[in-house]
Amino acid sequence: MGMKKERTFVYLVGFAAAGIVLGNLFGSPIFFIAAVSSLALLVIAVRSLPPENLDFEVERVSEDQVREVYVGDEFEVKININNEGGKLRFLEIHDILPSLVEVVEGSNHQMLDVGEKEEVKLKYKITCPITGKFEIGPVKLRYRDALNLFSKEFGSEQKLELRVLPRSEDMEKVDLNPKYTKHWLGEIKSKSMGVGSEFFALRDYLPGDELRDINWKATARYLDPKTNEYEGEKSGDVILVVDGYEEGLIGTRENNTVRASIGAAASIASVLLSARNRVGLIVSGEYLNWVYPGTGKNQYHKIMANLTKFEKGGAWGLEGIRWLLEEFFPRRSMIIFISPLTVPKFSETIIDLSMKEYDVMVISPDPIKIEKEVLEEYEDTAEKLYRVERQQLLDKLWSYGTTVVDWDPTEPLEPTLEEVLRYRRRKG
Amino acid sequence: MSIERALISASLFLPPVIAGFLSLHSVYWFLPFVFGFAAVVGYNMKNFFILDVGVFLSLASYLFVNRGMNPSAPLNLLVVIGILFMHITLWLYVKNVLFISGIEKISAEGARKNVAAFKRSALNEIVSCVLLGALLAFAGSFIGMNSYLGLEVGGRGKILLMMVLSTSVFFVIYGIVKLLSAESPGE
Repeated sequence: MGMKKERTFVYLVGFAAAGIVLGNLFGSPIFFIAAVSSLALLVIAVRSLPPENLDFEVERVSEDQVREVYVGDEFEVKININNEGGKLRFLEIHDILPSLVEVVEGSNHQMLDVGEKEEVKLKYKITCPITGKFEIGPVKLRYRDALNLFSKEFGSEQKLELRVLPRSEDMEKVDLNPKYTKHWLGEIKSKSMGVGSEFFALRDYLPGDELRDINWKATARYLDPKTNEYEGEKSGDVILVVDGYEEGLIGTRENNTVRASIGAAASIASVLLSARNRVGLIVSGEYLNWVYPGTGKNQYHKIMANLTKFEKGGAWGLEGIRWLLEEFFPRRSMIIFISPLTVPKFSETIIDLSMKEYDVMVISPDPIKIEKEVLEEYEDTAEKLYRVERQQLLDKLWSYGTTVVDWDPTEPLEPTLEEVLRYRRRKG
Repeated sequence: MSIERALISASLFLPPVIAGFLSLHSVYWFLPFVFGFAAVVGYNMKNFFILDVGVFLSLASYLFVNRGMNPSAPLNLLVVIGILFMHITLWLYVKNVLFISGIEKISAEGARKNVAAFKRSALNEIVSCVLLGALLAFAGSFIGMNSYLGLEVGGRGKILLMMVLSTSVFFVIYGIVKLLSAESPGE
């Protein structure tokens, strides 16, 4: 732990030296007075040097090194500083935070007076407006004297990884069912006999039928034991494909089409998994992240982790997505593309897949709505032209059998999705 | 501009104004004003470099304009040291204010109490250090001005003696720097 001389110290030494040189040059004692004054201040400053036996223990109070929070949630950061040495008057504590993390209570940068053998507990609350992985720390401690001539830096390299997960929208009313069901149990009525709770048909009693399945009214009417058959409830495979191509990104770092798509993907994954469907994920960004379809809470966690670590980019072509879907993912799946449809290649891939054995749906966050939110001035003619183009593209996708949800990302997804799904059901 | 900022700007400009008025006898009387104004601009722009350079050039220009002054008289010595330490006190205080404003900007409401306490205690510390420094400088300069080695030297010999003394002072500065940068045992 070396003592660092600050710029103020350098100025004073420089001033003293200049005083001596100029004093010699001009033969004037007034410059020598300036030199003596600077030296006097330096000598006085030695008084407030930090004690030699600086002994600090800095500890970040956290159960795990990785913590998960949802977007917009507050998270309390706690740091314990244990001073085993002498009293320090001006101790600067700075817990380094990424630029996107906001402090909502307290401060990550404080000046404290720490007494001898005193323990200081630093607490502050942060929030993060976007999803992603963030590193909190390291904690930097710096002693600086009041004249800011000398400083001594130390600290702890302990870091905390904060995973900010997308907040999923509560979509209880949404009945999102894949067209093709698989043989495992779920909540989708299969229009065939199987394991379920809804009555489907009557049949003659067979030895081994459970007593609770016997239809006593029908037995009395026919004078022959009859058993209830139920409609099989199954589930399907759904693959969420999130478009993270940088060339099609609209908006700012905090509010953009990719952030909206991630939020929508999280909400839909939650709805589908709670209906016992198998859900998979492909995210096309800087890397092609994918999660093979699965069920349960663990799968939800995997999907969230992949959505969180996602970074926008475009190194991977759309051929990669198509290849993954065709070679690795199950056939006759429902594919939900979440894309602002700003990259023409993406729409072409959707049309290609619609013509194959897939049930394709597109949820498209409207980029114009985001652009309107972030831009102060907006040109109406350009908007009208873009609207016409976008509507043409959406109509084209509908004509190829794709279900299209044109979503205003400034509003909740549920009402729009519900409306489109109702229309889809009516259309058959 | 807030009242606090206006007040600090005015205080920072006060020593150059006094220095300027004390330099009216010279054709270069305006230099302390100009550099003092630069320091105020540096403060308002939150630019440490402009602030530092402005203060030091204002000081240097005052010394240059008054290089003919005889500081052997206690009143003259007092004026010179007064101007010097006025500049230095306000410079250190303003630097501290700028540093604190950086912390205040990121602090939520509740945490500002700590910063305000630091501001008060730092000001007390600056004032006490500067007063002690001024006392030491006055004593050192007074003794230096009114003592002689008893050597009858003139012309070239006088300059040589000043050179020797200057070199010794350089060594003293170097010694202080070495002493302060020495590692503490066990570190």
